[in-house]
Amino acid sequence: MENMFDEIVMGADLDGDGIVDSIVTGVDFNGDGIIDATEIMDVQGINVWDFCNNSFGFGSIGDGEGFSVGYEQFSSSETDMGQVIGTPAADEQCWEYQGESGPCAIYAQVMAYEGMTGVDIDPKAMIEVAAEQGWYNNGTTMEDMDKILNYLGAETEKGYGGSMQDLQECLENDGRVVVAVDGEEIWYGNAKIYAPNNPNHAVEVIGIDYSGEEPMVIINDSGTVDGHAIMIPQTQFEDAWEDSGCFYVEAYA
Amino acid sequence: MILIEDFLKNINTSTVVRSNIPLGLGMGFPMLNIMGEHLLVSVFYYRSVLRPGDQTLLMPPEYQLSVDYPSGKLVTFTSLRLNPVYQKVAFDKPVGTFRHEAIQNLEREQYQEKKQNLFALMNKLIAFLGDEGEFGAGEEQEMSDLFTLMTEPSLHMFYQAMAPQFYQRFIRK
Repeated sequence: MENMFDEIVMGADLDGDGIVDSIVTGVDFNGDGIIDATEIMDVQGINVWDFCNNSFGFGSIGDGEGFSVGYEQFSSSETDMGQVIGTPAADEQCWEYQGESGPCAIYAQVMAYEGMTGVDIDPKAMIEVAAEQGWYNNGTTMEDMDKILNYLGAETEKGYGGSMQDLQECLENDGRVVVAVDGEEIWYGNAKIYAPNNPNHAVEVIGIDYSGEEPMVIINDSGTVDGHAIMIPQTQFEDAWEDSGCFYVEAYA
Repeated sequence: MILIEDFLKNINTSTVVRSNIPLGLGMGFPMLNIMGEHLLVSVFYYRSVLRPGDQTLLMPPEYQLSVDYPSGKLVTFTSLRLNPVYQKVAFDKPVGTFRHEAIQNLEREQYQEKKQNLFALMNKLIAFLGDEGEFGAGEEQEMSDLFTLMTEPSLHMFYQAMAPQFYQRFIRK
């Protein structure tokens, strides 16, 4: 491990057009301060960049059929409704699949608004609104997760460090709540598919079922084809929620 | 010493990420750079589109940042779409699929375990760079084996551009 980083790496503009086109690496083997060998990697013109999107056979976003996570879905006939917080059966009707692109936060806000008000909203129209306003750029940042709700007229409160108690109180007060979770930790219910990274993902919490041995958090997840009223064990939900810092947006009509 | 896993969590919940990086993009593997007396941890964020049958689409990384270890201070933040180095990249087209061939036999728990092993070795290296503990040829080989195994070949060009020295040292083609 000696001399691991006794190298100089710098960007260079070798053709003089003002754009860095190469990375020059110089190595000083004997520690005398004089570069003994150099390597030039042409970042702009090398085949790796020309062909990095050689996606023959990979398809495009939107071509796929989506995936199922295979969780149990909430059924009011199979539980003690006296132990259920929220209105998951009704709110399940507001669920919509977002497709393969990245508007999870838009869909989650729309589902929450529809559940609160009974007003049907076109999420694609809201994507356009969000893009025009700068709240959507191939996705929504966590800080902008309340913008569409506000645009539609809902009052919101957002923050980090949310708790299960906060979720329960919001639902008990006829509010709706959208949270940011580690999507991969939610989706691994289908063990055959897992993601290489852990993207933050927005879902709507529509209920909590306390009737079983472990409380189940009921969510509407627009990111999977079977994501309506899926039941996630509380410990798993909390693990996934923790990765966003327990970020939440509470909304009230 | 803050563990690399916790350092990355702090990056992921930092204001710069929450305010600038859209939901749906996740962090790639961290790479190290040394600038003078500073150790920098560099990561990029990219989208993966889940599909069955090892056909999950890997999209080009869109954001890259470097953070000073262990202070956590942001050093650089770049939108790759706006960086001339990447002007030939079509960011709305996939660059590859997951799982790549070398890891198609790994179930989720096995993948997570190897990731944890990789991070454990990185922690050893970081400690060694801070004059604590040892990091010999055996550890270096093991870390190189894991980096080579776990990093997706279709993203290698981005790892190489982000941290060319570290890439050349620890990822074999």
